[in-house]
Amino acid sequence: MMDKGLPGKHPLARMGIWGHPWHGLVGVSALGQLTLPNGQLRTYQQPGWPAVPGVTPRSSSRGMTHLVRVPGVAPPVRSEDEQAADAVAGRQWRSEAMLSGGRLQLYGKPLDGWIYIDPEGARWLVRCPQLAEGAAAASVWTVTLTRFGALGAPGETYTHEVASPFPGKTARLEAISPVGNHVVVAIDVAAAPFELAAAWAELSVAGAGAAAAVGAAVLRTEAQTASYSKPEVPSTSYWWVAGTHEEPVFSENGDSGGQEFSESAGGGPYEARRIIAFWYAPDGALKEVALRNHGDCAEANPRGTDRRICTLSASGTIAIEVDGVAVLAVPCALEAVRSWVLDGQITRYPLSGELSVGGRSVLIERDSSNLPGLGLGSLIAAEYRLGFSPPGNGDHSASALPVFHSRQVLGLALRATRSYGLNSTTLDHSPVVSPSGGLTGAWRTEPVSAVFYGSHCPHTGQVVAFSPDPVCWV
Amino acid sequence: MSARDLQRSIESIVGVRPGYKPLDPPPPVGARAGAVATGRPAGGAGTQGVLFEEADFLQREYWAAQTFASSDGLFTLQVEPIRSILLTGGQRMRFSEPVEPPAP
Repeated sequence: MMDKGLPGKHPLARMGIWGHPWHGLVGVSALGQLTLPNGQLRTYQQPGWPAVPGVTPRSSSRGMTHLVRVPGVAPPVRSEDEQAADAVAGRQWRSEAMLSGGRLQLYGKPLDGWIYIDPEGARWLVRCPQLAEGAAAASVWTVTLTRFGALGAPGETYTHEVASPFPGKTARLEAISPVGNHVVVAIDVAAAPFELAAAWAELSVAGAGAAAAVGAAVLRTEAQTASYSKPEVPSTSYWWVAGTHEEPVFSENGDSGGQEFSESAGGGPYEARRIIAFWYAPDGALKEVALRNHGDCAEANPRGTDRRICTLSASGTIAIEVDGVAVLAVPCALEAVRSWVLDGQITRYPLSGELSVGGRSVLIERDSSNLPGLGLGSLIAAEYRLGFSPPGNGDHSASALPVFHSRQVLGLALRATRSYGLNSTTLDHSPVVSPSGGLTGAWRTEPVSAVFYGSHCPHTGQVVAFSPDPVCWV
Repeated sequence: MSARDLQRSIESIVGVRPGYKPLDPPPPVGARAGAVATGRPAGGAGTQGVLFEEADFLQREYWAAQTFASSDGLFTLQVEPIRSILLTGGQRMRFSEPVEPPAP
């Protein structure tokens, strides 16, 4: 939109302010409707994702936003009369812009690319189809820079090819720096709802756009993305804490000549951590968001000749950390007990205990007649789960699952389950963490099937979460 | 440009040419309600010899191009401000270069 007085209308006209003054939340009143600050609705394209056949859209892409900041642009100066007129009309003149939704929408138009502002202040539209939602795995990324925003100037396009630092893996754009010179790329993202990336890359653009240097590098390796305190464990999603996987041995002919149990003890600190998101601060600083489950466990299988009580206990927290600082933390704990009596024969007593995360808990109870062997069970832990596996099939778990309301609005959902018996039909959802810092919202209980949308406004810092329909700031 | 600015611009032209008298001040504006005029403007003594009418569009002169950016800086326009126009009387009507004072 242009204010009155564009040159050309009149040779003596004065240049007014111009640009795009329509900002607010799209979708909160109705899909495709922007709610202006004066309360009026304005028809606006709902930020979305590419329509790729066969690709299940990610709900988290619909509300994602990226700040665009041209260096040196001062906030607009408006007279009191102009401010009053703007307020009546619902206009907001800003010195920065944002790209909204999975297709990186600007002024209501999908760009399918981002804007790079080169050191001379020239703007370039940067596109890389291999980073789009649902793009096939590739080993080479094609990056095109097209002159952007210079009205009336001749078009220029330059194409670069860079080798993917993770050849053959799928890649998806995650975060864009405010001047577009750095882009974080999520590698090999798992299917919804978890959407956990296996590794992270960074695409960079430097120099004047016509002679730009385009590069791609590893930002975080697989090992840095998902790290565990027991790296010898083959699985990347859980491990058996040292000591607990060894079944206590029953000996008919021990040193005493009679019946006895062997003795064992194990445990110690456990930790599982995974980087789940990257954000850019308005000043361009990169922020690392991780899910971290850490604590201590102890196991005792004491020696005994006639009676034995084995215990396993663990306590810790599952947290969302931003740059290493826990913003949201949920306590979790495990207690399990099993006993036997030897009196010429083995008498087993039922396994009992409790596993909890936040306000959610599940009782551990198994009939002695169903318990094979003499083992107590094992602690299992992943970055979002504390679990217990009794002898035989099945396990119990207390989970704090990551929930992506958008790529920048994250929460946890608590669930306690056991593989035999009833599973809960509801989840306890936490307040959300966002680039604005702190927490937004309150704990709430929702059906397991509920899908939520959210969005963070990089200009105002406002956060919306738990929306049943897609929403996005523009 | 306001009526007063225009008046000053015209006066500046008139002032550098010997033999021209200063122009009359502009008539007061806004005191009367709008009315439909039917007569032709009378040629007053003060405007004698200066008819503010462009002779030839192709004779326009422009200042160096200025860049106007959208409020967020993403879009830019290149605009050449008008520098002078040729009047039918043969004189050139000159305009100052529109340079905004630096922000305080």
